Amino acid sequence: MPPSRNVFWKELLSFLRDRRTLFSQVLLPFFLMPFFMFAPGYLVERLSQQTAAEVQKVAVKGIPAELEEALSKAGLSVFPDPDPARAVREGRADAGLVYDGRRFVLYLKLAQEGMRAEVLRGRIRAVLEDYKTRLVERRLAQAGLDPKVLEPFSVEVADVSPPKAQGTSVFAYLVPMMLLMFILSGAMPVVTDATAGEKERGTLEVLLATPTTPREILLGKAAAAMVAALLSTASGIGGLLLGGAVAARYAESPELEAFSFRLGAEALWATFVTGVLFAAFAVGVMIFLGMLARSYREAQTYMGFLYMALVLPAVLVGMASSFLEPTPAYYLIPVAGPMMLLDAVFRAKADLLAYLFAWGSTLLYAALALGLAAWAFSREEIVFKN
Amino acid sequence: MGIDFEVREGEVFALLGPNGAGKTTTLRALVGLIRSQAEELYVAGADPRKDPLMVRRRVGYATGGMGLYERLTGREHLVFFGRFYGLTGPELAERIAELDRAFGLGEALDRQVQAMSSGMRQKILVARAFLHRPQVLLLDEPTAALDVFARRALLDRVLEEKREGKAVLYSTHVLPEAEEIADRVGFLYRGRLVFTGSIPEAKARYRAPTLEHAFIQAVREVEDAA
Repeated sequence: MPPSRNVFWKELLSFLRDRRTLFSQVLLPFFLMPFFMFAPGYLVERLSQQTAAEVQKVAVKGIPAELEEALSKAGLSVFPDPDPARAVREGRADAGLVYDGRRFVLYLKLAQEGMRAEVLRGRIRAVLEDYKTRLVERRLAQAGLDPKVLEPFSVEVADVSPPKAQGTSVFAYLVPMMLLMFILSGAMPVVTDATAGEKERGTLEVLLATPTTPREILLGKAAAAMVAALLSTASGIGGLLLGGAVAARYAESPELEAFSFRLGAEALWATFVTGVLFAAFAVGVMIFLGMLARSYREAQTYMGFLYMALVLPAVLVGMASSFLEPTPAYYLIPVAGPMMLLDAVFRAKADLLAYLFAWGSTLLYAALALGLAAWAFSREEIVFKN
Repeated sequence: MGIDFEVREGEVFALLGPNGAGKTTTLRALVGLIRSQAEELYVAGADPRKDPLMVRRRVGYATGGMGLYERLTGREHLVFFGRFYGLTGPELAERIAELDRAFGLGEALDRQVQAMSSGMRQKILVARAFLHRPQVLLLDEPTAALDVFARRALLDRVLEEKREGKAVLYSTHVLPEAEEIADRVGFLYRGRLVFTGSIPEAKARYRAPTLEHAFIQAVREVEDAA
């Protein structure tokens, strides 16, 4: 058996026997992804529905009787009050509405009540809009005009994105960051254990004293870390697809259905290749950092910064999704390149240049990072630093 | 004077010195783990600076500071390391059985390291160094965590290897141990080898009743001269 394969199997066996790591890096993403992606949306919608169904108190002053009746019909409890703003502040009313003959002022605890106040604002605004429409229609009729003059044309919006891009519309910009995060979190325990952990335990010296080159040892370790990273990522994608399928199947509203996540075969392949290349890059950087560290804990601290390195590109991708039209040069940026490529793939916007630049540059960065890791493995002052 | 010594076939050479004297560094240089500035350096017929893999193939190396993989059993360790030396299948299984008999590995073979006592761990570590029947043994504080039975087994094994014509470099700061197994000794102090010779020569040179007294006298002389 070639030494690198021997090291690979040993690392993989150690990883597979570490139940806690296996649970947190492989099983948990599968079950947590659907929860993280769909639960908040589902929860917000359910709470909105509940709030909309509640009878909320509205203190009013000077409003027309017709509007008061409309508010009551909308399920709100309306009562007159000399100072509605004060009634809201003192908690006697959820909202206050004052009419001075020219304008309506709506009082709410927006900063304190958050979403709940927003929902109430929506309810009252809807009643006011409806009341305004009726008033306008009535006045137009009195003037002998058809209310339709106010609506000379109608507007409809239709999404003509290719079907491949429509399955991921709501959070497509988040998915690339999450996939790369899975790669980092999947590889991290294996790399930390295989570098700083080995140094701390004194096993690295045993390994280096065998008739094997440091490069072969590095290859075996890097391959095992990449497998762990890809397992974690596959588990995350599996969770996303499962959650997306469940959301699409059982969604009670179009809003929730929009959270569905589907990937075609082409996108899956592109994700896999991008994942492998990025994993090679990330593992190279991590092994280098792990070798520099004197202990397991120190390595974890160094590697923690890598998560931070994902945030800035994620912002860039978020901007690119909506406003920025990325030129091929953007795909050359480390970390941001693969992230932007995945975003483009999910939106069915990736062209040949995007693939070429993102994959080519990530491959180059991976080679550099692994070269750096190999250098660290061959430096006695790094290997025996403690 | 730096470090100048040789270990012959069928000989146990004990490298003696306190902690920090440079014993581990010397052994690391001998297997090519760290770069040595020595003019001449040969281990088992090869220069570790030029051909470290050849040296490592011929050398069995164990130091007290070494560790094991927590989630591997003792047998898996021996299989893992055996493969680096081209040992596989029945040949490897037979060799593991021999080492089991020699060191009393017993339960340690099929128990994961995280569930082993420190003595069991040390036995596996030491057995690993003997796995590929090396021509030269470099052992650094190998009895550090061994109980009396395992220590006896190891010392007997070292003497057996010597009888088989192997060269053994045995580094320790436990001087009575060296007195029992070594043919010649070297006193290492602050990175310098201050004496090499047989045990009777050491006692005569420093007019000491025991090897321990000889070593202490050698260190005093160095300090007085400084």
